[in-house]
Amino acid sequence: MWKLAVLAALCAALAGIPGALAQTAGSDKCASGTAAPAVQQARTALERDPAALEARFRLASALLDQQCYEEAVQVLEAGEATNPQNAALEARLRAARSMISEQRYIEGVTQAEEGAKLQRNLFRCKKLADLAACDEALKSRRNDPELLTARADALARQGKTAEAPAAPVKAAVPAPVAAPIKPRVAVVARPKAPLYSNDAPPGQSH
Amino acid sequence: MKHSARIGRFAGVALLAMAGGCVTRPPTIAHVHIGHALTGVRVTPGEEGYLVTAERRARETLDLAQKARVSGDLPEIKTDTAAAVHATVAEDDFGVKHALTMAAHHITFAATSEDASLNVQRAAPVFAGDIARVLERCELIGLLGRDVAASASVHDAQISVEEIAKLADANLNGEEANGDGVVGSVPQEYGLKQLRKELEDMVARESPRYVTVDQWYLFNLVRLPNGRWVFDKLGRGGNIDGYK
Repeated sequence: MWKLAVLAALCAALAGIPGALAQTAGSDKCASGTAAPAVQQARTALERDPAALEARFRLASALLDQQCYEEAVQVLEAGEATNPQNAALEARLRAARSMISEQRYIEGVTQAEEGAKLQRNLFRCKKLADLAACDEALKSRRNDPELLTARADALARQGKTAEAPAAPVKAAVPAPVAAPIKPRVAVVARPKAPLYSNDAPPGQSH
Repeated sequence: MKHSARIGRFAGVALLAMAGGCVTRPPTIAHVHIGHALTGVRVTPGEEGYLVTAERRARETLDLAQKARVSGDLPEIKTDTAAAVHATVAEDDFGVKHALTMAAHHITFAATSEDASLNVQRAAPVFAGDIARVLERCELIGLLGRDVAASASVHDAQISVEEIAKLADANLNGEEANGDGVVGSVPQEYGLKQLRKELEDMVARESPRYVTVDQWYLFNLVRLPNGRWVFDKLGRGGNIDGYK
């Protein structure tokens, strides 16, 4: 409820700039330079008359529509030289900069949720030999040798030693990183020995 | 002659003092929003700033996780862990995640204010991005907390609680993860300590200078339907148009 109220207020504060809270997929498009026709047209118009503020605003709006927030800020900032202390320009700059804030916040939240899920699965796979967590983590880290080893350990702990040298281990582990796997898979062959270790350095333990 | 000069000097000093005492300029709207993050806001427990709340809740999380860590009693571990998770992810009770998110929103509000300096406008997107790692740790504490709740043994619960305690400490103080030997050297290692410094550095760069905002201004900022921010002269408390 709080969040909705604040987001509503933020949206209102940013009113007038289209696409304020749109998805964040625009950055790739902006970086690749594949501009939308509206952007191209607005850019051409501005190139014809670089001092025209309206043309600059149109280009900035077109960029914002494409979620190219950084680029929109650059276009508006470039107008400051010819239009110092112009209230309309400054208002649009503030709004465009706040789009970047919003974009980074949304990216951060999305990344936080996804990252936490992965880290939880990595942690449970490595520390608690949770096979389901191993399999879930492997979906996004298919070639991670440490994870594959942990999965092999988890299988062994569940008495599934036959599956221990799981197909993904052989298929996915590249030659240079295969070496550390050996001793730990060897451990798998000795069911009474500890099947996982807690010696992972800080920051890599989950 | 000497006497009248002394009186003149005294009168001059008195006039200056009076002028200084009488002329109080209201803070900028941007600074009031920043004050909501750093100093106080009406809606939080104790009317403290959002970042202050986040820090307090992060300390509570760490204390509870450390208590759970040394316990050998499964129900007690589960109770303390549930409380730690609540202090981290509760929305209606200002957990770390929510309070920090609100702090970031208010810094963004500051940046969109008409009187926002370029410094604040440029710092806001950076801060909005830099809170991500703390939010991620909060999410992870929530997930591991669920695992603790489902644990059937003290041993299994303790393994997750140990990790929760590490995460809680990192949320408060930052962590060292990139091997450079410095805690909180990059945003991916930030805790609330580093985020506070980031905001303090931002306000230190402000011109005109940022001064701690008086409570009256903090509690009476309202947003009009036309989008303008003003102070409610009747002092009814700023809560118009969904602004918290």
